Amino acid sequence: MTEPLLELKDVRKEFRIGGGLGIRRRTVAALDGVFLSISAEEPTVTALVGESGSGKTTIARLVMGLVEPSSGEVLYQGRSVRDWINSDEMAYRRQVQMIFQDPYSTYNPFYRVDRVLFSTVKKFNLASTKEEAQQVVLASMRAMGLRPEYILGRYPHQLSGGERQRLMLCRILMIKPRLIVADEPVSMLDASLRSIFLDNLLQLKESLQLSCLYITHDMNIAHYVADDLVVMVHGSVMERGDARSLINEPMHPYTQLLVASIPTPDPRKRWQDRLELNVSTLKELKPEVGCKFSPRCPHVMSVCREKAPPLFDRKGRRVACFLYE
Amino acid sequence: MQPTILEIEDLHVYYKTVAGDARSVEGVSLSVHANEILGIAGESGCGKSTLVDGILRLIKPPGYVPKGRVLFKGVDLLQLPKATMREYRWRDISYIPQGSMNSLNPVIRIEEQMGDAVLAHVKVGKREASQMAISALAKVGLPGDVLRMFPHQLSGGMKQRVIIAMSLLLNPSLVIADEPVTALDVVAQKAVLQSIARLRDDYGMTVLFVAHDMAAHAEIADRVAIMYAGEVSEIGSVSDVFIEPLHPYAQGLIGSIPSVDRGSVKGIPGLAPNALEWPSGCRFHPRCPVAIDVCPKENPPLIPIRDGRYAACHLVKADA
Amino acid sequence: MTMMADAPGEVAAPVRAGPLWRATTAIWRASPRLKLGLTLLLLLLALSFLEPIITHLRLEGRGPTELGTFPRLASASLQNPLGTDVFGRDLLALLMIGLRFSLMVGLIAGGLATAVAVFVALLGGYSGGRIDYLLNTVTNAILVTPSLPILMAVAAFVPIDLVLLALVLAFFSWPLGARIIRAQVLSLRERPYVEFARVSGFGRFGIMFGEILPNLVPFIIVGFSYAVIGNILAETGLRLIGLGPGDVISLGLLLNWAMTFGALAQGRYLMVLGPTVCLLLIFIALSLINVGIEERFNPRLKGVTGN
Repeated sequence: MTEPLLELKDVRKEFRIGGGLGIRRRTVAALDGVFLSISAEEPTVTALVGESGSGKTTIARLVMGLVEPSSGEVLYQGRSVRDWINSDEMAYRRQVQMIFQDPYSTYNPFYRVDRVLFSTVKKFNLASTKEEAQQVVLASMRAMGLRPEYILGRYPHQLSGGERQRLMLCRILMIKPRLIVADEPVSMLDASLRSIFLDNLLQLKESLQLSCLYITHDMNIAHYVADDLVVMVHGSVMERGDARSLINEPMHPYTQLLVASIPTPDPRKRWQDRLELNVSTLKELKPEVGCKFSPRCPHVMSVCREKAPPLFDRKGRRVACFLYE
Repeated sequence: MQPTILEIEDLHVYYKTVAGDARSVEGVSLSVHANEILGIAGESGCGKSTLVDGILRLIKPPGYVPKGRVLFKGVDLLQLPKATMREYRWRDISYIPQGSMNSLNPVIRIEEQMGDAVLAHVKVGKREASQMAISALAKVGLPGDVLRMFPHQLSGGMKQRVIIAMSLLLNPSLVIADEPVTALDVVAQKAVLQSIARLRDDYGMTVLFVAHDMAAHAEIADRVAIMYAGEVSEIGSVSDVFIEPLHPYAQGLIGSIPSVDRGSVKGIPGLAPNALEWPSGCRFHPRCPVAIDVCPKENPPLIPIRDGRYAACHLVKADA
Repeated sequence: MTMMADAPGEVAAPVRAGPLWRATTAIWRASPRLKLGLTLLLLLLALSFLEPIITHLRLEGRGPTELGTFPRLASASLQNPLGTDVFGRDLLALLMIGLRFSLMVGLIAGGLATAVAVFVALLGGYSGGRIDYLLNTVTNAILVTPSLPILMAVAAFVPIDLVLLALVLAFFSWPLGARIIRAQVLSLRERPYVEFARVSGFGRFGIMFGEILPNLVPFIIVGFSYAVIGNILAETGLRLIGLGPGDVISLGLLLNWAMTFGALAQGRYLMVLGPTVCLLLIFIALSLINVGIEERFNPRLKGVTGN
C-alpha cells in the first residue's frame, strides 16, 4: 500500500484570543485531533463538509502551509508540509495548489488579470522566452473556453465572477499540480455557472490526474463532485466514507441531520417533518469534553458526554460515534 | 381562487448613471395571492432585490421609479404620502432586508429590542409588549426563553428567526423577505425556511420572498416567478415550473442545480447582461439554445399560457 | 481538451498601458481639486526655479543679494514690486529665492521622511512578530521625542546647509507617516490576494512591494503632502526665531528680518505679506492635493484595496 498523498495525523490547531492587561487569554481549538487521508493511488475528490466553525478552512490553510499545526502532523507524500516549504517551497507549490472562495478579492485590483497568469508562468518556470510564455497562457485559456481577446488586458472588476474563477482554473492547468485544495469555489457564483465550473474541475481531475480536497457546506455540491466525503463538527471528524453511500445511508447522527436538512429542487420531495422547538440549539454549544455533537444529538448517551469517540470502522465507513462501537 | 393582496402593475425601476439609465427593473407585473408564499428567483443582476425595494418605496437616488403601480389591498403604495407609507411598512407589510440578522444590537437583550420595535409603533404597556413578543416568537417556533438572551448567545439561524418574529409583532398581512437564508448553514437554513412555511400554514400569512437558491423555493414556495435581466421570464406554481419549465432560461436554471437526487447537470453558457445595455429583443437570446430569428428583434411579453402559468418567450404559445 | 466556450463578452478593447501610468493618469483625472492643487504647486516650483532668469532680467544683471542695489526701504514700485528691504535689496527677488529654498527643504525632507516611513511601515506591518515590535518601538520612541529643542540645539551649534537640515527634519517627521501607513498595511495584509500571492510562492519582499505597496499609493501621497508642509513649517519656525545661517534665505528668514525690522509697525506690510502669502499658497496647494486624493479614494478606498 503506497503512502497516502495527503495525511493529517491527530492534528490540533489552537488559536489564542483575547488577552491583555490582567485578562486571561482563551484558547480556542479550531481543530481537535483530526485524522484525514487522501489516497495516492488514483485521483479522488474528497469533500470536506461542515458548518462554519467546523475547522474546514483551517485545514485548507494547514495544507497550504499558511499556518502550522499546534500538534500533530500534516504530511504530503510522507513529508511534513513545513519540511517541504523549508527545503524547496516552489517544489511544494508546484504539487499543491489552491482555489479560493471569492473570485473577486483574490485578484489585486491594481493589476490587470494577465498578471495572474504571466506571473505564474514566470514563478513556475513554465516557459523560457516571452513568446513561449504567451503560447502557454493562450493555450491554457483556450482549453478552458476563455477567449483571450476578451479577457486579457482587463481589470478584475471588468470580468464576471465566473470568468475570474475560470481564469484560476487556467492557472491550475498550467501548473499541473497533483493536489488542489478548493475552498468553496462556487459559493459566490451564480447557480447557472456553478455546474460549468464543477464540470471543468472534474475534467481537470481526469486530464491532469489530480486529486482535490473540496471544502463546502453544500451537500448537493459535495454529492456532485466528490468521491469521498468527510463530515466535520467543531474541529473533529464525525464520519467519512464514500460520498454516495454516505449521503444515501448516513450513519452518524450529525450526518443524518445534515442529510435531512438538504433542500432539494424537487417540489415533490419536500421536507415532511415539522419545525421542532429545540432550545438546546441555542448557540452551537461547543463542549469541552466528550463528543462534539452531544449537545444536539437525539441519541446521546452518558458516555458521549464524558469522552470523545474515536473513529470506528463500519462497512468501509469510519464513524466517530459510540452507537457504532 | 384566493384574493390578491398585492398587485404589481408594470413596475419600472431605473438608476441614473453617467452612461445613461440602468433599467434594473422593467415592466414587471405580478400578483401575490392571500395565504401563499410567492418566491422570486433569479441570479445576480436580475433585479429581484431592486424589485422588492421598488415595491416598498425604498429606492433612493440615483434610483427612481418612472412608471408602475403597486396595489396593496387596492391602495397604490407608490402614491401614498411618506408618513402613511411608513405606517404601512410595519403594520400591514413587514420587510426583512438582506443580512438583517446582523442588525441586532449585540449588547441589548432580545426582549428589549423587540419591545422597542413594538413601542415605536403602538402605545402599549411593557407587559403587553412582552406578550406580543412571545406570541411572535412562537410563530417562528422559538421559545419565550429567547427573550432574556443576548444576540451573541444565539446562532445565526435563531437570530434570523428572531428578526422574522420582530417583523410579525404588529400582525402584518404580508411579509417580504430578501434573501432570508443566504448566509446560513444548511441546518439553520432548514429551520428558517420551515418557520416561514409555518407563517403560511398555521397563521394564514402571505409571504413574498426573494432568494437565488432555487432549492429554497422548491421546498416552501407555492408559486415562483423567475426573473432575468429586469423582467419576469416565467411564473407558475412551483411544481409546474420546476418539473416542466417552459422558458428556456428557466429550463437552463433549473437544469443547472446539482442535487443529491440527480445525476449530471448543465449550466448556461455566457454572461449575465448588464442593466446599462440589455441585449436587443428578448434579453436572453444571446445565451438561448433555441433562439429563433425573431428573438433578437422583439422582446416577447409575459403572456398567460394555461392555469395561472405565464411565460415570456416567442416559442411558448398560449394554450387555445 | 476544449471546454464550453463563453458567449461574446464586452466589446471595447482597453488601452494597453502599464499599471503605473494608469495609476498616474487616474490620479490626475481623479478630481478637480487635485488638479488645482498640483497645478498650483507646480507653478510655485516653476516660479522659484526660474528665479535666476527672472531676476537677471528684472534687475538687469545686478545680484539680488547685493547690498545697496536699490534705495533702501523703498515702497512698492514698478522696479521693485514689493519694495526693498533695509539693505536696499529687492524684496521680490528675495522672496522667490526664499520660496525656492523652503520648497526644496520641504520636498527633500518630506520625500526622505516618506520613503523611510513607507519602508519601515511595510516591513514591520507585514512581517509582524519581533521585527514589527522592534520597528514599532523605534517609531514611537522618535515620535514622542521633543523635536523642537533638539532641532534648536542642532541649528544653534552645527552649520546648517540644505542637506543636513533636510536630514534632521526628515528624521523627526518620518514616524508619523509610518504609523499611519503601518495601520493600513496591517489591514491590507489580510486581503485574499495577499494570501493568494503567498500560496503562489511569492516571498515576503515580493508581496510587500508587489501586492501591498501599489494599494498604499493614496496614503503615501497624502503622507507625503503632510510631511512636506510639516517640514516647511518646521524650518520656517526655526528661522523665525533666528536659528540657522543668516545667509541662506528662506521664507522663515524673510519673516525673521521683517520682524527684526519691525515691518508691521512701520507700515511696510508687503515685507510680511510676501512670505506669508507664499506659505499660504504652498499650504493650500498641498491641502488641495490631499483633499483631492481623499475625495477620489476614500469611499472608493474599498474599491482600490479590494474590500
